[in-house]
Amino acid sequence: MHAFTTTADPVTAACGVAGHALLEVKLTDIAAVRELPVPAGITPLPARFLRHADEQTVVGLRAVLESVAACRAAGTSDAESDFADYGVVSAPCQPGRIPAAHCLNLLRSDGPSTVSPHIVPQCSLHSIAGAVSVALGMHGPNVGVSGGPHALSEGLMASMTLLSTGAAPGIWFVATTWDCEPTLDADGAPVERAFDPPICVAFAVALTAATAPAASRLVLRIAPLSPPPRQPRLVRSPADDVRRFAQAIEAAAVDGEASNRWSHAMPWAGELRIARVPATPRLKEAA
Amino acid sequence: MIVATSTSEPIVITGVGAVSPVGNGFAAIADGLLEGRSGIRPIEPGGFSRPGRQFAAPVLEIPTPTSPDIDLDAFAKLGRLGQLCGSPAADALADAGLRPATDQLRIGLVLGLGAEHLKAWEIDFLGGGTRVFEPHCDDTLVHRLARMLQLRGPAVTVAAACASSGYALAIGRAWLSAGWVDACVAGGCDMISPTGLAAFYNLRALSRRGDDPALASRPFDRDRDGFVMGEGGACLVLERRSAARDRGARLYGELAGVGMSSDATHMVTPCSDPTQAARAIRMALDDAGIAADQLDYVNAHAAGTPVGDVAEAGALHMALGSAVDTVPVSSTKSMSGHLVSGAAAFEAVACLAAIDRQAVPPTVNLDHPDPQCPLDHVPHTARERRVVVTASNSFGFGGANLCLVIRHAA
Amino acid sequence: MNRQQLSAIVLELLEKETGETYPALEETTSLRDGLNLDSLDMAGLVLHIESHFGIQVETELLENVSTVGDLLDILQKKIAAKAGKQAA
Repeated sequence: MHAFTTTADPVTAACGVAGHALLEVKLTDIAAVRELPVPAGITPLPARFLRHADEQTVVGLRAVLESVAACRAAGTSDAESDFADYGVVSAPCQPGRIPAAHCLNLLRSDGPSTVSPHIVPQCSLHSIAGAVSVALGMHGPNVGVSGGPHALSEGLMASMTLLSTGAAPGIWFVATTWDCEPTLDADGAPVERAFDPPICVAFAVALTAATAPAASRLVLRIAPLSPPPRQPRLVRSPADDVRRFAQAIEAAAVDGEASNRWSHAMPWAGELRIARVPATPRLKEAA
Repeated sequence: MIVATSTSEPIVITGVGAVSPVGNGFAAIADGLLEGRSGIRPIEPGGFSRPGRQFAAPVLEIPTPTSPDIDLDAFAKLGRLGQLCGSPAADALADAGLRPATDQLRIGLVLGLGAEHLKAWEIDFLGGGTRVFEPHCDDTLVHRLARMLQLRGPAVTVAAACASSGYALAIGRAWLSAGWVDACVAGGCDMISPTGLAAFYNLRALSRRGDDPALASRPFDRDRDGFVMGEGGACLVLERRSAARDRGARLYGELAGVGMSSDATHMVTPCSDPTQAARAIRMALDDAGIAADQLDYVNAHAAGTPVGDVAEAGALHMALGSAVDTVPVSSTKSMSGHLVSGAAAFEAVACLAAIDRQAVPPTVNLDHPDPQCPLDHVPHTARERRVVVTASNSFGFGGANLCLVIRHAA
Repeated sequence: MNRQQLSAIVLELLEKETGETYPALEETTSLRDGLNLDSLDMAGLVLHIESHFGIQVETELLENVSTVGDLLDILQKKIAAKAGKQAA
């Protein structure tokens, strides 16, 4: 038996917010995004870098690229090397389902020699973070987080944790999910839907140490102990969670009141809020 | 009363749970590793065979948790992958004396799991299901486990390929240092599956030496030809040292230092320049406040791949300098196979075993050390010696580098 | 099958693996520097080749392969060995 108890005081942590981009791409348009050249000023990707990547990697990486480009355009970072020490935390929701369906069909019909060697490096939980790290040369820690409906909570918690260790001066946090998950046919191909087409939603935001200059701050508040809910907090739409967060981040750069209305309850006793920090340069929006 | 503010107080390990190809539980694993016992054997890969003998390092039995407050029906429903985490997590908590569960503690849970969804879809599909084709968004294993174990703190899954469970330990330690939890269960697991075997085989990462499975895993040997897939799980309970001492908990060791970095060069192949890997090792040593020549043992990541083992030797030379000639290095993957997402946590247990038994586990099958890996190897048999400070390396796909320094808890 | 035919099939499988188009393969072209193939690309290409021809190519043989010609040499031997076994 144990003999210690915890304080009832809440615990808080904060980090800065700098640079962000929200991207929403229909499934049918992702092939085109896969082939897009990088934005101006960014080192081109290695040949065929995204050929075998999962859809959430394609859109998530693109969100980071556009946000980095916007940071440069705004003059908030003058060279790629400014992010070289950054880490990456990616928080997808069920990554890799379309390639997995294709792979499993082939395994069953034609045996193990047909399983692609790309499936593990490109369609695992870490793949998006790894792709961002490699694409932009970021040498801080890179991890994938969650893969489920609580990806936003877990991802932001992990990001703030890594910042608290001092392992990197900043973390690129990339949340990706589907608004309306694709339905696949028996061959693993997406079924076309005229109504509610699957849309991949990706939001990238650079989080910095609390002491660094920033337009606004994300505050993590871990509430006092309370009995956990018997059932997990209902997450109606991870995509809506990501969009509301993105809107709140954007609003924080402009209007403190709007961002103050946002909060995100985590599945354990904790919540996230945004606090506006006055008198810092405003970042230009991503295209 | 614990004051929940940030601290530089040592973070110690008070509970260990593990299931592995070389045994279940701390004592059995310590015995197995120090006796040089291999857990690699022929397997039948779920009906998807190739020509030639198939082999891996499976877990033969997953113990059911014995704590009376755990819902065994919920444990059964976790499935094999969930049980490979759930069993060690429950055991670690019981070992730490933190059962039955209480409302009075914030106990966090961090699991290293690199491909939970891929495995779940595969198991369902091969069983005749259609989950992979359907829109759904199920709760993840970490939350189901947190509910089963009645843990009140944050619960997060992290993935960095082969370094996943090491990042889980790093995050759990950070939560304690920041005062966000009172205790934390951290670790990870992985499971052998037909798709995993096929994918790594087709990537040419697996050993194809089918003539004698126990000889196939040969890290640092000049005749190595790839790793052997293993499975298993390991979880450690982490606490602040003062709290652990106040309640008379057993101290297995201290998680004294963490170093993290990324190669940022390739999604699979480690960088030929060892700078970033060496940086992770140096960060961990600096975090622990120790010099390279104070290390008594390095548990290498070395999985037996031609490129990876050489890259790690280079990183150790760069990070340790002249001390590399006298710090014993071994790879327990020679016996356990590669536990992938669970590897780093399992190898942390191996470091604790070395500290507990005052002996360095061997690299078995190391008949002819590769001249490109000039290290103080421990071939075939364990080496008895003073072991106070150890380091464990993990290098994962996506360029993830991690080093943990684990030392005797004062 | 003659060398030219073999080369044409390898070209087709290369294009299937990379999704790119290439002119006819030159024997002296470096796989890494000339065709820009990394280890992952090679693993995928050799998998297609093994599946197409029903052969197995040991990893240690691939370690000494640097040009298109080196790869074709190995494949010719493997295909001939398989034909010889089938004839026996």
